[in-house]
Amino acid sequence: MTSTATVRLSAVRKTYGTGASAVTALDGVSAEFAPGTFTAVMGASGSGKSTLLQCAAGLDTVDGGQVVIAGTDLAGLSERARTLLRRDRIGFVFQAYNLVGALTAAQNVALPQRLARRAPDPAEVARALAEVGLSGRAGHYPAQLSGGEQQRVALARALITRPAVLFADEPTGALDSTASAVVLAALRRLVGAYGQTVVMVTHDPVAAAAADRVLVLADGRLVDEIAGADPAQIAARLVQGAVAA
Amino acid sequence: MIALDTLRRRWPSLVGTGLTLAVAVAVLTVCGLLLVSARPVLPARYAAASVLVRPVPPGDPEAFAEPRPWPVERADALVAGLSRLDGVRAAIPVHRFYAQLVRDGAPLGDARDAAGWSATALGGYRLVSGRAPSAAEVAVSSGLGLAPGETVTLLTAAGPQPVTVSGTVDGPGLWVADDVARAWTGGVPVIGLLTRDGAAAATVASAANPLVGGDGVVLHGDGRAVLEPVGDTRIRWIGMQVLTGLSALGAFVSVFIVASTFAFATRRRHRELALLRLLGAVPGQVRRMIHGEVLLLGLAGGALGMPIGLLAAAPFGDWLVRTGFEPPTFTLTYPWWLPLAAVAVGVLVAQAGAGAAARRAARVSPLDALREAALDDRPMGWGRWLAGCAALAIAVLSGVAASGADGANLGSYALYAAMALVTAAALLAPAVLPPAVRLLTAPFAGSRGATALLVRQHTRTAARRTASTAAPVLLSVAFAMLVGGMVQTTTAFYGLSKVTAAGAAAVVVPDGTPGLSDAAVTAARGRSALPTTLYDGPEPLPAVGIGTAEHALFTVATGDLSALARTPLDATPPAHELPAAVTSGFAERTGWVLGSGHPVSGPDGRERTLSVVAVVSGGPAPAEILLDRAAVRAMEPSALTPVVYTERLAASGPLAGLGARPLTAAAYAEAGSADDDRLVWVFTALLIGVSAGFGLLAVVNTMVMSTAARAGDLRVLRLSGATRRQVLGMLAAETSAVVVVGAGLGLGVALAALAAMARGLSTQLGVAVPMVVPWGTLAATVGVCLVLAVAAALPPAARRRSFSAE
Ligand SMILES: Nc1ncnc2c1ncn2[C@@H]1O[C@H](COP(=O)(O)OP(=O)(O)OP(=O)(O)O)[C@@H](O)[C@H]1O
Ligand SMILES: [Mg+2]
Repeated sequence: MTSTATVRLSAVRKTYGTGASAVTALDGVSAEFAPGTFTAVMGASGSGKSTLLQCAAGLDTVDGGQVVIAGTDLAGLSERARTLLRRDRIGFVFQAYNLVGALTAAQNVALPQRLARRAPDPAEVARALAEVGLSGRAGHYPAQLSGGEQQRVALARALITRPAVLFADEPTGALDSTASAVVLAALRRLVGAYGQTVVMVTHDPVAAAAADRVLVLADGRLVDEIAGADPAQIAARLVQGAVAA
Repeated sequence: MIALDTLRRRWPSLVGTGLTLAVAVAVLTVCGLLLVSARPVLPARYAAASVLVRPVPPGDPEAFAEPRPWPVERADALVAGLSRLDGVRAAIPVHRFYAQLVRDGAPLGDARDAAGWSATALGGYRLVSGRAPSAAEVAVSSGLGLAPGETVTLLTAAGPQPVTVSGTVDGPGLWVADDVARAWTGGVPVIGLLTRDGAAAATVASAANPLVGGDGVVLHGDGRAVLEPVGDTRIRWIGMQVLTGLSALGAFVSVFIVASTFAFATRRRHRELALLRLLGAVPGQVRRMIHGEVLLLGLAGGALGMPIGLLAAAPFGDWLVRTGFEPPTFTLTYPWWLPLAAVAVGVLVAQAGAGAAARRAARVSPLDALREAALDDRPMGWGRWLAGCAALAIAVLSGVAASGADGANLGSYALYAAMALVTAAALLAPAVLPPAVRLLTAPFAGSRGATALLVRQHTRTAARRTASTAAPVLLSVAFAMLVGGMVQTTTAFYGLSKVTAAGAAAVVVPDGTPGLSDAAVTAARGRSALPTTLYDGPEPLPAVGIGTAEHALFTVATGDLSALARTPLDATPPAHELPAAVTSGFAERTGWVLGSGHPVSGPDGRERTLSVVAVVSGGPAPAEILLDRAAVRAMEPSALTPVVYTERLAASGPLAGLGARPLTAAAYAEAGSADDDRLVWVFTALLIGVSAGFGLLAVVNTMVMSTAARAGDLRVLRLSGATRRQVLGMLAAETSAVVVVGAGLGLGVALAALAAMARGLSTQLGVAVPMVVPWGTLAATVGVCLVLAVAAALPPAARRRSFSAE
């Protein structure tokens, strides 16, 4: 059976710890992320959102089920092979600590290419930085940038490799609404202009509304899927779900 | 190169490590240059002899003994054969013996031996004035300012005698009539060939080979350099020990420092490394990145250290010659590859040091980039325990070996012991130091005031960090104490033991002479031993000659010492029977028993049968084979006595003009009984200097790094109302506490090792050996550590701009 999805999870289970202290973070989650779609993942704290992202990105191994990224089944891949897959097909943006402090913004953006032993193209790096509105800051170190600017540098870095899928874990969590809007707009443009697949974890209904659809997790299970809704609708559905649960 | 980019930002924290590597490369360059430059040099007195023949040397070059000479008859036969060879103008046997000029009791000129007149031709020397010497005459170097006809005093193994200067020569040395020289020497140590014009040395040498057969070695060209004086060979060997010791120490301490710096840095960069892994760096790439950084650091250190080493080599070489670690013939050469090799070794050393940190970095999980991961303070693995305990065992074994060694070996063993101990300390530190720190800071628990409280809490809660800053202090203190104490304990003991064993309160030692003549020995009226060398095949067997006065000093296990004196001296053909006493240790080792006979050669090359007439036990004997003094004198007319043990301080009157002076036993033990002791002292000082230097670099390095790592803590302190002075005072107090803790532990380690060594010596020799603790060295080391550590800790904190209240 073939699928057009960039990332496909089927019946994924993930348990942390063993015995009495074991926590089931994912309990049979199946989901597909089609090319060129923007998916938001929501849910209460501890519901398994970050775990889902890490498993889907091949950062962590799963205890059951299957994860396929761009046609490659992650099961049985060596650490090295998973790393190479990550390097070539996957981009990341997190809530904080996205950049290497000892490298400038431009050097950070070029990092994935250099790790892949490709000579970074300065023009390309400059274009990526311009796209997130940071043309003038290429030579600045992370410590000299604001939190929102750092997030945008991370975005530019994710952009430059043209990954099959971009995972973002609460990319706007530490930002005010204006800075969030800039980051979200950049993400949206990635999807629209380049057909990028984006999966974003967020607590913020406003951020989630920028996505094509919203997956809702509760206790490691997928409990709801909302498509094309505005922030108010999403917030309402979440409250509903919480009451029902 | 990512390594280069990240280094650009992080260099301040790596300055200390880079400097360490620079010092290491400088030390390696200096030592390497001196090591390759230290080559044997053909003595000028043989320069004109294009082919030289000498007897077969001993198999072990470290025996530092002259080869067994040819007996005179054998030498005469060789000379006759060699002078008939094609292309040979003359074959000249060398008869060389101890002799020196004295004037008013003081040595005159540098010559400490004389040869037969015919030997001047081997050096290409010519008469400047006067004529060749005949009996009771001497020819001298024209540089001395003596004129033919003048009367001078010639000091020989017999004693002083007046001689007339027959002429002056354009080379250094003393020359007497050939038959006078022949009477002074037992055998012939070398035959020089003067070749005719146009005769190639190599051709003559190959023609001489079959004639000499297995009875000698034919030398020509650069090969002749092996004829350098045995003393020079020995000095070069000691120099080699010193230089290799220093190089090993430099490399070792650098590995240690690089390892701790990079372990620290890797822990600090944990999340950054995880991020790189997340972005697609495979583990190998992370490892290579760390190695890349270290490579750059090593090259930078090398670029700084190499020129320093090149500049320092010449003065250091001169100094080594002056102190006696290299012979006066030493000349420095600069092979182009050596500095490069030193840099390469420096880089390798750095890589070896960073290996563990690089492996650890490669194991960082990419997930850690997403977590607020705490630093991994994993408990010590069993491999580390095992390695630490193994190093400890090696340290103890080396300490035991050191207590049985003497001369340069003692220094080397002491060094290995200290190196192993420091390795053990470094490996076991994470397990041992935190509880030790908690224990040592317990006394501060009752004190009041914010500073005391903060200091105590910081050192206790951050036991691991405290441990890593205390480690280099431990290294410096333990190293200095151990090496210093070990050598002092051992040499003090040996110096004293020899005197007390001889039942003496004072000694007579050479003064401006290489040894005491018979006249000086007689005037000193004490007990002494006359050293000589017997040969078992080509292998030397050290022996001494003693008189009946010395017999009482030995405990006879079996046999009778008085049988020694019954040596037939005037038998012709040469006496074949040579009565000897051996020590019980020697008898056990070789299986020689009372009454057995053994073929040996004497110092004159003649064959004899050594018959064991007694076995002696107990106490340190001057040599393992004891002969009759008169027999030794008969076989080796120019042998010298190193020291005479006397019951009370000898009057200096009778010793006047004999090149001897009296000393009390205490003064003798302190001054060192031989040049060897002085060399060991200098060696020790060098080792302590270099190790303490590196240790202090490490102290500064870790202090700078750890203060930088604590910027956050300090800022919080400052924001919660601490004044700038309070923060700096707290840092200073805390640093001092850490230094004291490290010094305390280092002292403990060193004292334990020294006590064990003293006990080992005591049981080995059956005499109580006092442990000497170098308190002065300790005070100096701790003091310097304290000052440097505080000086290194404060500026990074004081400079931090975030301190200014916002
Ligand atoms: N490394 C871990 N070891 C043990 N348990 C873990 C680990 N990581 C996550 N968990 C547990 O798994 C569950 C899911 O965690 P996860 O981080 O996926 O939640 P989340 O939905 O991202 O929460 P939040 O919104 O707070 O980020 C939680 O109960 C958490 O305690
Ligand atoms: Mg999360």
